[in-house]
Amino acid sequence: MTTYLKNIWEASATVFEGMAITFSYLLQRPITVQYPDRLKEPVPKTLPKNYRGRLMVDTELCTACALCQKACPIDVIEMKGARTERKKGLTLIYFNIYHGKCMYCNLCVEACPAEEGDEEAHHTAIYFKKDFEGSGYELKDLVEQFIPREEAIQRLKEAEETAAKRAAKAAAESAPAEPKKEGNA
Amino acid sequence: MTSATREKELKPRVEITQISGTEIEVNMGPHHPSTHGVIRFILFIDGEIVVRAVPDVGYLHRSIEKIAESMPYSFFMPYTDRVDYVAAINCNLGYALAIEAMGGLEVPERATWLRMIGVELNRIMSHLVGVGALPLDLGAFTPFVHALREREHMMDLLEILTGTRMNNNYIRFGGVCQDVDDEFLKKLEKYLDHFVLFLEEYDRLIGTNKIFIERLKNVGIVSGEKALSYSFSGPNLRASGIGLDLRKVDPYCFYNDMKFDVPVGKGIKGTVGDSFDRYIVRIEEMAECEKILRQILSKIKEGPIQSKVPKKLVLPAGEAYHHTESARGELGYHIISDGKSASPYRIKIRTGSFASMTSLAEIFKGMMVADVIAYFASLDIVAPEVDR
Repeated sequence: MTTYLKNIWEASATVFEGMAITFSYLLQRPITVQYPDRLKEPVPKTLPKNYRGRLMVDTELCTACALCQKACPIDVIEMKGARTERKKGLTLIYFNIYHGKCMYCNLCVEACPAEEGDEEAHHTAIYFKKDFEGSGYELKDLVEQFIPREEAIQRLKEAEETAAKRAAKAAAESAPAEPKKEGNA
Repeated sequence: MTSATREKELKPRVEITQISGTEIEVNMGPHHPSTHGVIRFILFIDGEIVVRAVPDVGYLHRSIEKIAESMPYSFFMPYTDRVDYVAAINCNLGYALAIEAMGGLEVPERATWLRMIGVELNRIMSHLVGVGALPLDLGAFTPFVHALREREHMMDLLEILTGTRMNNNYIRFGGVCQDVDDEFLKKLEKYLDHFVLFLEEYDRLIGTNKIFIERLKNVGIVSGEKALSYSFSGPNLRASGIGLDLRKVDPYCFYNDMKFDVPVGKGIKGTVGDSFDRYIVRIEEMAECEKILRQILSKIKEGPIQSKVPKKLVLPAGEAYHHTESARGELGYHIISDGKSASPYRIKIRTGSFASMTSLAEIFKGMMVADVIAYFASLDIVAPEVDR
């Protein structure tokens, strides 16, 4: 009988001890906040420097070396670079990122050789934005084209033209050499 | 193939024998609130007593080990996060150490300290989920919220350290992916001061609760001998009274310089190896992690965080096995390389959760259905780690 009563006493006493802690939290400011409209400042501003949000590409800085494409384990990045008359080296024809597939592993950012900015605002050509709110209604909303479709088509045309010109030039350069060969033969 | 083995193969994995009038077959899972993921048991119950039980694994099989064979070594690192998403950096570390041992890669000192910070923070986070989900499964919701609130603070710290909250992919071969400033170390130290108080408060909140103790003590007793035969490891093995901790027995990183105790189950409320011991061992282990973190903070120095690693890593032919102490026991990576290609020939991952699953069929026998949940929750199993 005494153990029975003791058990009841212990059970209620220890439960009330836990309840006291719960009650003390009732008097404190809540730790949760109403998202997203009652925040003091937007969440991206409170995030640390290297936070991995959505992928972003600086198309001006990008050298179209395709290292990020090779570094991605799951083919999130779809890109092409080709020679045009716009600039020296490769021009970016298109650069699409499938945000729905991305697992935010940072491997592409580490592979990127193109860098810009001082220590404060340092970033590579492909980098993570602090923005993380990117939901869409359809899967295709999660495919981001960093070079718009029309522009990409235009660039592709230019690239084809350049390639044709270069081929013609190369043919013209190698043409005078051919008779010599024939002469030798 | 002989006809006998073929017959054996064709047999259903789960044998359903004749059920008597009083024995009922109950499907628990794959979607059950207490299984934390997709794990299924088939319970044959007689009234409230479990006559026998068949754990059914394989619902979360993603064939990670096979995926590894089709990609370069470094590509597999993000996949190791998904082996145990609650303690992702622990899984990163095991893989990195195995590859580094095989390839003879060096790790700078600061990188090792940073790895240890990540791993120990992750261990605390994982144990918080473990000790938070245990009362949740027993019907007490409040402690879970308290535990997850603390985990949220730690995630904020991990966000600074790694850039992400979960699935961190922080560790690279021969280093870590990014450095932290002193501000982070100060923040961490300040947080640890708060964490000690939290542990005390948490123990008062639920650890002394009579109802909680009665639900756990003398439930699902696993003796030390039995625990070894089930190949338990980690906190579950230590709760059975065997103080085996790979950080002590086979130290990696700088764990041999660290001073910490290995908490073992003493049966303070009931018998050694009961469910309450598994709870209390995790609580004590969090306090030990806190001690280790403080020692790391006093010893960490400036320096490089990444050594030179060849871009196309081809490991010499041979095999290596490296085990680390994860939050759920021994996490081992067995890697075989053929010495020619840049991807592994075979990777086998040994996890603690799967070993814990092996005990269920035997321990569940003769248990009440309510105790089944108490025992299962006390094992702190994470479903993706069971199947991989």
